[in-house]
Amino acid sequence: MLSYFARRLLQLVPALFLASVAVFAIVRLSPSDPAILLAGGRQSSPATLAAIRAKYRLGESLPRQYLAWAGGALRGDLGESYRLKQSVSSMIAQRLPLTLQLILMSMLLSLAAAVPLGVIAAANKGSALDRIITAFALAALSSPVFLTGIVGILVFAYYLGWLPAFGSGEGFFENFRYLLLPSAALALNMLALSLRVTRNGMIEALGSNYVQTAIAKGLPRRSVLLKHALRNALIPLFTVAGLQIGFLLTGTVLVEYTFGIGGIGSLLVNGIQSSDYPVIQGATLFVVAFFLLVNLAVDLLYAAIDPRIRYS
Amino acid sequence: MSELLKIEGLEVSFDDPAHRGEGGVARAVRGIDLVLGSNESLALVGESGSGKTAAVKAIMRLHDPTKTRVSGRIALEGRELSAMSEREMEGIRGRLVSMVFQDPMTSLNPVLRVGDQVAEAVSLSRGLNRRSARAVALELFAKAGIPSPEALFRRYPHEFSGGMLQRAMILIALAASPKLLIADEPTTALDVTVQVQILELIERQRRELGTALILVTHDMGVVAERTERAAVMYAGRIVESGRTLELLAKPLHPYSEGLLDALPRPGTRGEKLKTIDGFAPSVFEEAPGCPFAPRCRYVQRPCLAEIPALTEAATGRRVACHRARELDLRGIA
Amino acid sequence: MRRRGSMAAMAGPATIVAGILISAIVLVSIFAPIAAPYDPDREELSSSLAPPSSAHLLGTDRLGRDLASRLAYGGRTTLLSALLVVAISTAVGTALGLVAGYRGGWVDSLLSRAFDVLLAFPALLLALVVAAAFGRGIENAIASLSVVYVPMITRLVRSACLVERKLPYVEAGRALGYSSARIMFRHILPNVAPLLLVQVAIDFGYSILDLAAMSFLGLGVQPPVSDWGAMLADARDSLLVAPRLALAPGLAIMIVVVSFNLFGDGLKESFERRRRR
Repeated sequence: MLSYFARRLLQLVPALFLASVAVFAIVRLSPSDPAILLAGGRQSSPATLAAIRAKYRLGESLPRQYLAWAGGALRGDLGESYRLKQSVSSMIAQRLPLTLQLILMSMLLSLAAAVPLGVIAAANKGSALDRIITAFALAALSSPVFLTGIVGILVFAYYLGWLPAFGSGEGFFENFRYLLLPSAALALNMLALSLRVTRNGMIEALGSNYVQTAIAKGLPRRSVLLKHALRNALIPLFTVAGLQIGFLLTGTVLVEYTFGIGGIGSLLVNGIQSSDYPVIQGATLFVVAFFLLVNLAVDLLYAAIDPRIRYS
Repeated sequence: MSELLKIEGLEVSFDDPAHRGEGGVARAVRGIDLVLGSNESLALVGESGSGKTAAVKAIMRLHDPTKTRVSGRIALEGRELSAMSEREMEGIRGRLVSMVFQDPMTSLNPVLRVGDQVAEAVSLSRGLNRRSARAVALELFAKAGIPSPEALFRRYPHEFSGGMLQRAMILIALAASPKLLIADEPTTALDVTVQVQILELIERQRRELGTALILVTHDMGVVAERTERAAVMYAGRIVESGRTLELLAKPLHPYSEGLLDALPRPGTRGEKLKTIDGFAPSVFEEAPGCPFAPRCRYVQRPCLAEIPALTEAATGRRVACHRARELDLRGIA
Repeated sequence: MRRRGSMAAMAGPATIVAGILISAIVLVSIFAPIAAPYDPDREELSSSLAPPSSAHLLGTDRLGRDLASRLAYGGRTTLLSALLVVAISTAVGTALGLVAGYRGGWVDSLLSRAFDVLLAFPALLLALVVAAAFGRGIENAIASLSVVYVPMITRLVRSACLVERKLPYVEAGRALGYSSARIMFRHILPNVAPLLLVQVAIDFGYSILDLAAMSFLGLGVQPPVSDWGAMLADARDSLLVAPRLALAPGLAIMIVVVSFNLFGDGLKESFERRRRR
């Protein structure tokens, strides 16, 4: 188990390296002068430009520039946004808790809805209930997350007045109210895949030989469903977890934008919209690193749950 | 010896929309009658597709009710099973009747420890809490001849060999000391060397507990010293039944003769193995006449016209063949 | 030579309905210039935010522009862009997949490695980053999404190819002296086509969602051109007063994506049914 962990950790390194190179290249690929881009694209004083040139070593060769930048990144220095007059890392640190809370709430809501629905659909396979659930999943999947968000705002914030429409509050618990709508919108979007995987997993488990053995033992149907079938059915969820995380990140960006939430997603979008390159670079690198780490965590969790994986 | 199991006119058919062109209904079991006394052992022999597995699964109602039609009477200790609710069946499964399946690798839950799965069966039947059930299960492990029982108890199915797993399955099936054990091809997926051990384990356990046994197999060789009676199935029907030793020495049905002929025997080295030409009729088919007729070397006109009924040919011997009285068939000594 | 029969699939009812819906929407979009009652950019500030009436079927937006016409024209933009994304990514992805799957070797290893990493990342995020590097606009959006969709298609075609190349008809072709290109394109490809078609249908749906998302963020189509995503963004200002401004393009997106998904699922089912026979 430990060796598996070590191996996966090592695999992380080249991926991170490639990602960092790509992020680094964004600014350098553009036809404009990197210094101007890094300054935020506006008219900056020659002094500022000179300072930028020095800091990012723009005079030197590309590999050296990369090393300087990457070195800084490893130390926690992701550059400074001249437009916003703040260091990128501090902005990320400030906004991180909110995004994390959003992500967590979305994941939990999504699983809390998808798994039971998937089990019910599978247990009643072919019935009208199954078809309704599947149709619901299809509709949820096909609706853009910002549309669901807007409809949510319309219904729950404007018409019913139950929840706030935009922004965020202070601290974890107050944020709960603000983040409920956005995470619900996001969860709705994501649950289609988990639902289908759970349903397929359950159907396969229910048709398996070991479930037949469990029934032959005289186990009550509920035990068979929950203790034997479900445990196996949940395993494929981990296989698609990587895809889910991708959906999640994309959705987070869109949802934060739609609901005016000051998280890392909106930081990235605003950065792109205003061509604030230090922000774009820093935020993108952070998101990619986060993505890779979460993937690793999921893989490890998978190995912990399915004993057969540890030997591969 | 009292009557434990009585099956009358059992029919099992499956809906198969993929074969709509042929009627869409696969008739796997076409009316069988069976009687089994308590503590008796019976072999149910037939090739794959003969309906033997479908028949025994019907006893425990393991078929998918949405796709399967089961009719006929199945009485266990006098109680009619087809009239029971699912709840009542749950009470019977594992306790009165148990089953050991063909492939132990897929018949155990891959993500649960083997010991826990055995303990589960123990606790279900004896109402023990987790700890006591585990202790009992561990004892059973040892008694079943599983080496280093403590170590293996905590392991997962994929860490076991097929033979070991099948032992665990047998323990699970017998945990509640059921009155009837159904073993559906318990050795087919195992090495030849292990097969004997498994069959012996079943035999030992069953004598100890006084359990009746239905041993389902396609291999006549397995049957010889293991069961008191045997019934041969072909195309969903029983074509011959009687005491095992008598049947093997002198079969009354051409199919049984063919099966025995096909067994490799010492002293026949270098000879081509005998087979029965042709194929079994399709489960969708409804041909008139004896289902074995197309492949029978003794076939005559009446065979094609009417399905022979299972009739008593001698005491304790029944056969479904129009020409049973005339034919003098070869068995194995 | 074709290993299986013609590609005409036996469609289920859902597939047919989906197909009809898609055709209807496509037709409306193609004939937008004729069918739309108004010029979509024509502003009539006096009738700003007018509710549905006989003059304006779906009412007007904040600048007095006819919503129905904007919907039709917007659909045109959205669908056309999606078509481009799917066409480009499928063409490139198929070519790469065939080469990787059939020839194998270092090309295959390289591509597979690179694409495995790429596949992990979500399409939209990559497209956003490209927009950051190369600027906004619908052309960039289309280009970046096309690039991002390629790995999935490549992987699909590659695995199908790996299966096909072991089959007798490929050996026969080689024995007859057919060139690799000929075998790949004229023989293997038709057998891979069914799977590809399913993916294409699903990709259509995804590209519409991704394109709409980019336009919603202001990084896709740029004014004065508009598509459904941009319309959704515009609608936010008048959300309380005229929710239909958001619901119309939103529902349009949903209906089209559902149709494509249903169509793709239906195709997949009928192909699997045929294969089982």
